Amino acid sequence: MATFGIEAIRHFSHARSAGYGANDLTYTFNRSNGLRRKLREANHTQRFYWTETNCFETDFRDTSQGGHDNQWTDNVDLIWFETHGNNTANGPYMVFDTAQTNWVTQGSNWRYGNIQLEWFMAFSCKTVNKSNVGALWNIFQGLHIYCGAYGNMYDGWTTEECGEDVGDNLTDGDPVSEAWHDGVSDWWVDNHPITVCPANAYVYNNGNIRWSQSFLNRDHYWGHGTTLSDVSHAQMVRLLFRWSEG
Amino acid sequence: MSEKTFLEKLASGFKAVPEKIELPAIQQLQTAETQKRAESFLNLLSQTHEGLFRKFDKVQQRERTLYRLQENARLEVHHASGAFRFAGGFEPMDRLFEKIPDQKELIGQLETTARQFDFPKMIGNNESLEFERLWQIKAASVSKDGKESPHVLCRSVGAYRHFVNKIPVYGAASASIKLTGNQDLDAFTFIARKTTGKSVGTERVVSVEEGAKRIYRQLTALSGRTKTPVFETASPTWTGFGYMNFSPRKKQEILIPAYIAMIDIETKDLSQGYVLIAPATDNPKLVPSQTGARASGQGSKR
Repeated sequence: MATFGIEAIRHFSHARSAGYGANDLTYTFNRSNGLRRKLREANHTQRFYWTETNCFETDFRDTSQGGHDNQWTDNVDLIWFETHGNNTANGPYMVFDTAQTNWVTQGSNWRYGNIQLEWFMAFSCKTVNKSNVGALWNIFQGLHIYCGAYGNMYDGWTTEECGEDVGDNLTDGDPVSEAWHDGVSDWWVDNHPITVCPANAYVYNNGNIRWSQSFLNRDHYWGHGTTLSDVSHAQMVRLLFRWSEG
Repeated sequence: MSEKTFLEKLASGFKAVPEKIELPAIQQLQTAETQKRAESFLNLLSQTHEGLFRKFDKVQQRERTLYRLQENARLEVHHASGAFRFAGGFEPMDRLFEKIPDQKELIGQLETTARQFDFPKMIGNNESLEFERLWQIKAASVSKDGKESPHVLCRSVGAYRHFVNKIPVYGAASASIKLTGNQDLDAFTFIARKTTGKSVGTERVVSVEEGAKRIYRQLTALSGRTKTPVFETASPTWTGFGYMNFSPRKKQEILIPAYIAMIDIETKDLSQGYVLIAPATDNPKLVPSQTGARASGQGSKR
């Protein structure tokens, strides 16, 4: 079966002392515990579950950039990461509560899928700029789907079960993109999920996009439906993205 | 924004707050009753789908029952609440809209579907379900140099709100309908809890100013020690007064009145969003838990 890893941060007192405007969260571990429980119940393997100051920036940084993602983020099939976020011209920007070795991780240092990772799930605010989705281009090195948000992702009693919902959806057989959109949406709070994937020339089809053949449509968590083959970075001609607005 | 202005802004958003409020009791369903409810829905759905969902494989799990249906569809019902979700089994990028209709047309399509479900039969007396919000799921492509393709509409979603004695019951959408481009039912979620029609008591509601203070206290607790006061970076984007509906995996015996605020915080680096709730009475038994879980099963310290 598949492997997954979780990094989740609820308290940010050290980050605040270092000047980052990060307030504490309440339901971080409700979500991450929930996803963990659902995936384990379906016999998937947890490789790591780091929390609070055990979450390191280097876990996300590519080895070519001096990080250790080969041991952590890029060494599992799915990563669930929860912290505070934003985006810059360099792509996603997310904060840690310890500087190992930096306080923040930036998308410009990410290269995923060149080892293993297929699905990156970020329960954080604004990790994608919908007007600049292309900023994610270089993170796709075999990665199938980046699941994030182009608006805030709310911490509250109606989103505490998002981890369980995503986990149930994945193991009930929804494609990963749909599992994310449905799982993190309660159709009340202003969560604005977005999923982004690479497309090769066949799927892009000179602009007459074969949506039905895309990762967004057909890519399932291992063991729960079809999982498509990687699209290498060299094969990428477009990024496809799907978002919920309202 | 000053602290006083922040509090005033919060308080001014709490509208139609009564002096006293009843505490409606919620029907408590046994697992078999939640299943019966789910199967009634499948029966109703079968009437408009040529009997498609009459056959099912029923898998009872610890906290839910999963019905596996023909055509890759499924329905899950949560034992704690009776909340259920039907998924039609369509691939998410199948049956796209040929063009993007205007919002009025989309809402009309959703309302037509809603009428098939006969909402009044799914809730109690003195209750209603009203359309609240339209969502759209769209897709596009972008080139490396940022050129975007035209947007396509994949799904429309209608969110509905449950009212009890004309007071809204807040939480996730009480019901939601998701339609494909040819108006097939892609998903239907129903999490409204039916009341018994009886009240377990009446409570005095604290003032909107007190409600605002209680929300603000929670916010300051989350912000800890910080150089910039939270009222300078926070702004309420929505505030309301109503009953609370807990999450589908939780039991709930009565509807608890609460002041609720969605608050965005923008600092120079980060964006943050919170949904905060404050008890609307002084009854200590009507204080919703907001402690959050501890991490379970994490690795040893590095």
